[in-house]
Amino acid sequence: MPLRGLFAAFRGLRGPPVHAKLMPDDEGMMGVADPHGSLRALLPKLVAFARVMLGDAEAARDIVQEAAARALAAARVPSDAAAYRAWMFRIVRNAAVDEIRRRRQPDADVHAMADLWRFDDARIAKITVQQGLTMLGVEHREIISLIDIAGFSYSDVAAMLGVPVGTVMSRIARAREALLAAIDASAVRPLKSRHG
Amino acid sequence: MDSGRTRDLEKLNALVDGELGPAERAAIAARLATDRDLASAYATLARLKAATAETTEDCPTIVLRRPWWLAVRRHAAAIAACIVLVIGGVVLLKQAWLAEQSRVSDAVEGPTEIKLASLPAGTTIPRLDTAGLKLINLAFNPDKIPLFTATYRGPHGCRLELRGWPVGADVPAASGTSLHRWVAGTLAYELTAHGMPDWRFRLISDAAEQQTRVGSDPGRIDRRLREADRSAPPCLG
Repeated sequence: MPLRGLFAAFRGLRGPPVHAKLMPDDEGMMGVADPHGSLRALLPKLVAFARVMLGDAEAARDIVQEAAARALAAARVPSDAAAYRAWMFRIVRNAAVDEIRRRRQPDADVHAMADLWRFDDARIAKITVQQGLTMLGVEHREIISLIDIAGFSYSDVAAMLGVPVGTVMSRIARAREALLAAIDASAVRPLKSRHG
Repeated sequence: MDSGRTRDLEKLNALVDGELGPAERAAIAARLATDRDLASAYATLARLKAATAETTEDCPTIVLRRPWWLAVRRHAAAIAACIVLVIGGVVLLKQAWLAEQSRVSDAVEGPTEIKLASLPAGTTIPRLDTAGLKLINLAFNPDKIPLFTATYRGPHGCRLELRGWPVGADVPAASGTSLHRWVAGTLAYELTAHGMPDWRFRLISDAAEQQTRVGSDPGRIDRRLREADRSAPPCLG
């Protein structure tokens, strides 16, 4: 009905802000009546994904905001929630890759591999992982963030990157080994818990 | 690292990620129960995965605001429809107003009646178009009585006849269900109708009579004819 549409347009003009608090367990899956209905819930993971890709929280926020604006302006939007989620991550990934190319920073990849079989697990903590991720190359950061932060399955990632599932399987294994090596090489040590 | 360990490592990662099928999962689980290195590696990977997921907790908050033009574009069809409706309404109202003005102008300022040079001076043939009655025939003979006979017809079968003759002539009444006679100047007029409701005939005959009189009010004539035109019923008879 035109009048309803007009009222809705005026509500839109007032521009209710879309706030996103970080919620690690938030799956971001909502109904598809509004194709962008799940965008708000996706934002924290999109920012986290972009932050790992870029190693820069502010730049990550900027590209996610830009990607969201681009998505909202898109003429064709996936109606299925899962497809919408993959589409949003693809937009952010492409923007992050462009930003990395623009910066032309040398890839600070860790080539050493950790001894996974005798690794000191006490060194694995949020702080050391964050530090370690910054020392990885783009390919390793990308595969870890897609699987462990965005929560995509191997087949989703394979489709997104255009590689076989077997390649994803070997890539994530190598990336985690590299991350453990980076943690091992880092001077950052997690504080020991008083409660053991 | 040998290829066997590499395959084990990939399997362990897939196990941590929940990507193994039931058979592979059972096989690696059986080995985890006996191989301490494998079990240690599994624990390390599981802890690493959990710690990586935790890194999302302190990401900066995003505040997005939909650009106003997106809201406009999203509801473009509704807005366009409303604009079309408004413009269409304005155009229709303007057309209706112009038509009304035209009718009023025609009725009030334009020539309402017909004057014929071949008839005696002052002879007037009224126009009843505003009431929906068209003059379809006019017969006149200056040497006979009546001098003229005008016939009007409406869209619903209404028919009126107007006759005129010099005052003083003895003219029998014409047949019809309604009849109105009057004198204006040197002429006597007679308007007759068949099957027309009295209220409508009175309005039309008054308008006709006014048109034959000198100095009559054009506004009054117009109002009479308009009222006669409103919800005009068909003439029966």
